[in-house]
Amino acid sequence: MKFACILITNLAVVSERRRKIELNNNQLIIFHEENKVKNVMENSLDPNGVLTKITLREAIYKYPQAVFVSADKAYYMESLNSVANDLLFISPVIEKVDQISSNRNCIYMNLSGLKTIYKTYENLERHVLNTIPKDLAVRVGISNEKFTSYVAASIGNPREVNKIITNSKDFLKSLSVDFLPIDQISKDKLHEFGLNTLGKIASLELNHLYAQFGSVGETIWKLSNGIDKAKIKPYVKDFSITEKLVFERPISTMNILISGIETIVCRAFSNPHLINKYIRLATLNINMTNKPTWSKTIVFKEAIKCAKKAIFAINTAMNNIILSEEIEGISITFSGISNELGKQYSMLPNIRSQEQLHETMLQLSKRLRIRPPIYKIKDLEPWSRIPERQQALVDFEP
Amino acid sequence: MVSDPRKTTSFSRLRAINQPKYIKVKADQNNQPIAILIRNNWRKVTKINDFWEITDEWWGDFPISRKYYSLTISNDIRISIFIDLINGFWYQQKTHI
Repeated sequence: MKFACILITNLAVVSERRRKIELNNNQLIIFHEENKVKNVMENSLDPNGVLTKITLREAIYKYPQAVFVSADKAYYMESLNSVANDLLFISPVIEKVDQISSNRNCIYMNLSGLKTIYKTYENLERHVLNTIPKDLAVRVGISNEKFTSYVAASIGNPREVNKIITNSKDFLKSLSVDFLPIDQISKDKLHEFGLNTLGKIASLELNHLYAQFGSVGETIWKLSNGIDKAKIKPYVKDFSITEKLVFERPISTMNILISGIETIVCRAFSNPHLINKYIRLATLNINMTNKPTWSKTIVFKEAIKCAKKAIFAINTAMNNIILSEEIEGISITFSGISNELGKQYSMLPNIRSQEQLHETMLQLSKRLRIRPPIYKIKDLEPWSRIPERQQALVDFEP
Repeated sequence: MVSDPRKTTSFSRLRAINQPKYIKVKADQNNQPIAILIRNNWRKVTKINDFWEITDEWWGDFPISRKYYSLTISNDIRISIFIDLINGFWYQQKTHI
C-alpha cells in the first residue's frame, strides 16, 4: 500500500459550528457565490458532500427551517491546514488538495515505510483517524494508486478505512465516471456517449478516446485502467506568526482599527521567533459581524525587520478601504520569514551579487506567487555545429 | 540523517532557444537566395557574405544536411539563413548567439 486519501466532506459546517456554538442544533447550509450565482456548498444534513449542485434559492425553498451561512473560505482553509499540520506528525510526505468550493477536501498521505514504525497497517489507520478531530466526517481510502485511494475514500463510510486489496482496475470498473478529475463538460460528454462507468472507458482502446478527448482521453483511459503514476506533491508547513485581537464590543471607526493593527503588529514583532528575522508578507484578516472574514495579503516591497515599516505598509494598504459591517476582531499572520539580510559592498563582488540575486528572486516569488519566469542561458553542447543544440534556457536558480 | 527538504524533486526544465524559424525565400536557378520575406515585405539580398554546409548524423534516422548563408539584405541588415537540403525548406537562424 502506498497512498492513503483522507477525504473531508463537512469541513465548512464543522468550522462554522466550532466558531458559533449556537449553530450546533440547527441544520446548517453554507453557500458561496460562483459566477454571480449563489450555490449551496455544504449542507449539514448531507455530510457525504453535495454532489448535485443546488442554488441558494432552491435550498431556501427546500429547507425553510435551515440556517444559511455565507462561506468563509479563508477560515475553512485554516481548519484544513491545521488538520494537515497534525498529519505531518504521522507522515512527512502529505499532499493537501483543497477544493473548498466543491466540498472535496483531500489530504493524500504517502504510507511507504510507515509500516515499520506502526507495525501493522491497522495501527497506522487507527492513528490517522485519532489524529483528525472527531467532529470531521472523514473517510480514508488506501490503495496503491492515488486516484483509486480517492475513489475508495469517496465511497467509504465516515470514520472508516476502505482498503483496496484487489486490482485497481477491477475495483473501479463498476464505479461512476463522475469520480474522474476532469472538467464537467468532459464528464457530460462521457455520459452522452453512454460511458457511465469507469469499466466502460477501460474497455475502449486508447486511440479512440484520444481521438475524441485529446490528452484528457489518455488521462481518463489510464485512470480507468488503474494506471496512475501520480506522486505526492509535498505539503510544506508554512512557518508563520499569527496574532489576534478580539474587541470587547464591535467597532466601526477606522482609528480604533488602525490602533488595533498597530498593537498586534508590535506584539508579533516581539515574538522571540522573529528576533533577527525578516518578513516578506502579511495577511490581515478582519472578522465582521454577520459577514465572512475580510482578508488582505500585503507583500512588502522588500523583506522588513521592524514593526514601524510593517505598520506603515499595512496602513497604506488599508487606505480607501470601506468595511460594510462592524468589526469584531482582527488577526495578522506574518509569513515568508527569512534570515537577516543586508546590502554590503564586498571584496568578492560576484559572490555578493549572487546572494542579492537570490534574495531578489525569493522576494519576487512571493510577490508573483509563482516561480519568477527568469531563465539563464546554459551551454549544452557548445562544440555542436548545429546552432540550436549549443545552448538552452534553464530555470534561474541563483 | 539528511533532513527531508519537503521540496518537489524536479529537474530544471530545458527550453530550446535559437530554434530554426521557417521563412519564405526567393532563390535563383543556382538555389542562391535573392530575396527574403520579412514581415510581409520582400527584402532584396544585397550581398552574400559567407556560406557553408553542415552534414551531420548521416548515420542515424534523422540526418542533418544544411547550407547556411550569412547575408546582407536591404537597409544593411545582416541575417543568417539556411536551406534544409533534405526537405528543401528555408529557415532563419542565428549562427552566433
